[in-house]
Amino acid sequence: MWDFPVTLIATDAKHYRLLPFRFMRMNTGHDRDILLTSDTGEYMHVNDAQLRALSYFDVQASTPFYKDLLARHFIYEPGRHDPFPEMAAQYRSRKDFLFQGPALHLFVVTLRCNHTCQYCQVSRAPLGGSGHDLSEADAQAAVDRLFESNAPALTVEFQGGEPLLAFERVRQIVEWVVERNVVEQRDIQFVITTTLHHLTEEILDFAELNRIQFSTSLDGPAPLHNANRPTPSRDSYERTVKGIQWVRERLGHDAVSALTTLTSRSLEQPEAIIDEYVSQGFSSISLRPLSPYGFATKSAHRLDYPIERYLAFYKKALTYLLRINQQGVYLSESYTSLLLKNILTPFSSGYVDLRSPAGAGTAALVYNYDGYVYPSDEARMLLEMGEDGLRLGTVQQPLSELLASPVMNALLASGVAEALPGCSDCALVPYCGADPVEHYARQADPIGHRVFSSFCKKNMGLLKHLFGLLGDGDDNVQRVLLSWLNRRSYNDVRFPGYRG
Amino acid sequence: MTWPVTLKLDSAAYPLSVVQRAAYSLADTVTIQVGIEANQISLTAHPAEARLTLSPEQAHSLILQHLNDFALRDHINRETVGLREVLARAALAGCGISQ
Ligand code: SF4
Repeated sequence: MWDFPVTLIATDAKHYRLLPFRFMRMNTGHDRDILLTSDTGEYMHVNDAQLRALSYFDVQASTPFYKDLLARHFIYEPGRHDPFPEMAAQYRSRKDFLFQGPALHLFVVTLRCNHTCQYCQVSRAPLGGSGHDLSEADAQAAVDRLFESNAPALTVEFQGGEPLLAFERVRQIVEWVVERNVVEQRDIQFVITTTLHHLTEEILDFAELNRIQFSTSLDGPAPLHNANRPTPSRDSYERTVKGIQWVRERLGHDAVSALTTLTSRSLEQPEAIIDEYVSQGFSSISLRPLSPYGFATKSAHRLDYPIERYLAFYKKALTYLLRINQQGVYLSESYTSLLLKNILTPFSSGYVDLRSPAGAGTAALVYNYDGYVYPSDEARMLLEMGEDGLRLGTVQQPLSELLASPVMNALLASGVAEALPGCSDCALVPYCGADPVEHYARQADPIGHRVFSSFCKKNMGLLKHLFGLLGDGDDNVQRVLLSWLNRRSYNDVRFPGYRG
Repeated sequence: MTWPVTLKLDSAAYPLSVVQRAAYSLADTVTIQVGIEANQISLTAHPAEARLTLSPEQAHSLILQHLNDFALRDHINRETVGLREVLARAALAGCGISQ
């Protein structure tokens, strides 16, 4: 493993040496209130006396605590045991996303949309608007960029506006990709993010042929969804639900998933939103807070909310989800599942927002309707706020050039969480990410100050809450969380297998 | 005890970098002015917001706890200096950003 010498020889009487670790007070009121984490994502709960003893070489070698510290790579015994090869392998697993190019490619085929959502995160143009569609030449160039990435598995996602309003372009792109892939032999997944209002038999035939997945938006029961998503006919909910059923009839139950946008009024009704997902037969719900982008900021005074309100909502929603899952419903919360994967497994979820180095550009690329390329959907949304500084270049430039652009360098320079002020001392950093685009949007600084950051407050709040649930000894709750992690039913998870 | 809360620290026990990290981490609660005189570092803390519910006594012990925690982190970092870089370099060799 090592191509350079690492000296592990004791030069004094200490019987062990420290390996890099971070600690954090969780303020739980429990005796072992301090969370220790290693760079490889191992963790332990300890008390103040244990932390001091550990740090000042006072842990007795015969104790179980010592053995635990040794096994989880918080300490090592120079000359007796070399933990580095194993740690390097673990570290590599956690960062394995760094070994491949962008895997998620978002094609913004049009900005046109029939909705007039006030919080719209991507902005839109009127139905008949012109000059808001991706041109054929730019679409073709974007397909070239897609295959310039070395990622073995590629996701091609169509976004808008409403991408089904530009279905002919979607069809063309899918056909080009399929044709090129005869030679390329990548594992390709197509996704259309759509309200499903413009679905036709022809679209479904094409989707069936190319195994296209649909991702839609369902904000909750009809009154809430329709209030969040106004259309002239005021029937957004009814049309989306009809579309969900239609996709399922033609392509199978799992061919459509849904995302929730939480507006201020959504936060008052967690149970109603979850009940809607149960009644629509979904197995996953995504409870994500509103982003500070696009029109969202212009309407912020009415629609935005402090992240503390979101956290209170999330905890209430999670309590309800944990209860109904114990009663036999399988409905997981997707962000929770990603965080659990980061905490409980040696692997990273790979989720763009939870990566360090940041996923913008390295994990995902956005080909905008105007032929410009952005490192993330959020960076594109900033454009609609009059901010075009986060462009990587045009779709006609090769991928290597786009990824070497000054914007990309700036994002990477501010996108390594382990090196950022605040995060570098935070015990949650192995499970968290860096999001320079969000910090740029919210604080006008891609590094930002974590104690004022909504991103930090959200992740810290959720991670602390999950560590609390994992540590409080309720087997039933832990069984539900493990069932989400393993995508198995509650009854199939017998014994909580977590450590800590 | 009244606002502003003041502390005088021995710079041998609390290096300036530790004090600065502690002040940075508490910025949403207290705003801390840091001064240096001979071997002493002085801290003057004001509430970060007018509606802060923390009493001066609570602020005092919170600041002290953060100072001690950052001093301990400093000790851990000194004991493990260079290991993080060695680990990252070995683990990420070949991914293009390991340098
Ligand atoms: S963003 Fe916040 S929670 Fe995440 S690692 Fe940084 S300081 Fe910790």
